[in-house]
Amino acid sequence: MDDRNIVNLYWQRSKDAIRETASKYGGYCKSIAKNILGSNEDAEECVNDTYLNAWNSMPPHRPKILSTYLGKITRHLSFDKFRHKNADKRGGGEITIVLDELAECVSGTESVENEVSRKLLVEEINSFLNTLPQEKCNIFLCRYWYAIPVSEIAKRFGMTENNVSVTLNRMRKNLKTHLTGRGYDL
Amino acid sequence: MKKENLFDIIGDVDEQKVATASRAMTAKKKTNPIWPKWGAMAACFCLMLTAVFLFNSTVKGPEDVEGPYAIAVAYVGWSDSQTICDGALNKELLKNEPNEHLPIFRIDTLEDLEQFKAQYENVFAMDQGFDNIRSFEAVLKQAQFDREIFYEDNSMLLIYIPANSGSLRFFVDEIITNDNSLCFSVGQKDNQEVVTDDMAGWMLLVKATKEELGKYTSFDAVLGK
Repeated sequence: MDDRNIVNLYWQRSKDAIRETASKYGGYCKSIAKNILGSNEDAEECVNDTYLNAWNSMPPHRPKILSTYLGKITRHLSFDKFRHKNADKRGGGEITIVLDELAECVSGTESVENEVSRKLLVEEINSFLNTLPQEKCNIFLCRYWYAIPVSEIAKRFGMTENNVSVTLNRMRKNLKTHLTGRGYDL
Repeated sequence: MKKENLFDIIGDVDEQKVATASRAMTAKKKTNPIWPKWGAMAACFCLMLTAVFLFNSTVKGPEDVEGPYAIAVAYVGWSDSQTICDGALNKELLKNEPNEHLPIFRIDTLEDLEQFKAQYENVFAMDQGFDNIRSFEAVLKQAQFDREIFYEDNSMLLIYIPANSGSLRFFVDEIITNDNSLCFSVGQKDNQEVVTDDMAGWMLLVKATKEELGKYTSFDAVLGK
């Protein structure tokens, strides 16, 4: 079913909205949750919570891109669950390695963050992504938005794993330089 | 800042980019990684031929194309923003029959183009291509529609086609003229190479001489049956 029609079902408060969402985007959401949480059971729980969140947020929301809208909810819920379950122990899916990689871009100290500074930082990361060639931007987001394993990215983009790791390493360094150059001391 | 916060913040980046990355993963997934070497080489050769054909047939410089119209296609992403309908030449038709008509815009000068880009920068993805279809900016540059000299004798019509699948491709299959009205009928076909259910959006860029467009006062675009 067309995304626009699925969104209309939510607005009409039709239960079919969830069925259609699960049928079209269930796999997409589950892969995001699985990458972050590692466990099938936890991932399924997060996907079900995603449907509930979508139900509660549409209306008032009418997302431009339904897939990303749902993916964002799943990512957020899964990461929350990961943080909750891993407060004092390591574990989870690919996310632990992804986080270790991102640690190179930040100081690791607590920082005061408000909605405005968060928005500005998101804009700066967007502007960094705009400087990247399309394929590199895709690789960056596959890794740091979707938390997809390097081996899988390598396979899908026709690169070696080493090549992907080197590309990601350079992009992380460039991101740090980009943000530092604009006054962000992360 | 902690690494967890950075991961969290990355979650809020541009949704178009996130959707494009997802499509890139899905599209690449369809290829068979264990082809024999010669098969891959043959495929590369075919792709090169296809690329040359597509380039020649869709992104020619305006001076290379004969006849009053030359058409190129660009990827601009999906949007249902009301501003698209509001700014279109055929907004009344779009309001009355939204499923029949496609928004069409007219660009007569380089200033018009800049204004269009500024007005729709948050609506259309101006600099992102998809599969073998170039971005709006890339096509403008390639076809030299972004030069002042182009607008001395020519104008550009833009037809926006939102699509519920990235697998579909669009083309002008007929140009219908009637007294003072000009209408583009847009055809669609499935591109079996790319299989994705993600929302997508395409822009047809139509080059036309000012003399030709001067014959018409009413402009429209429809999705062909």
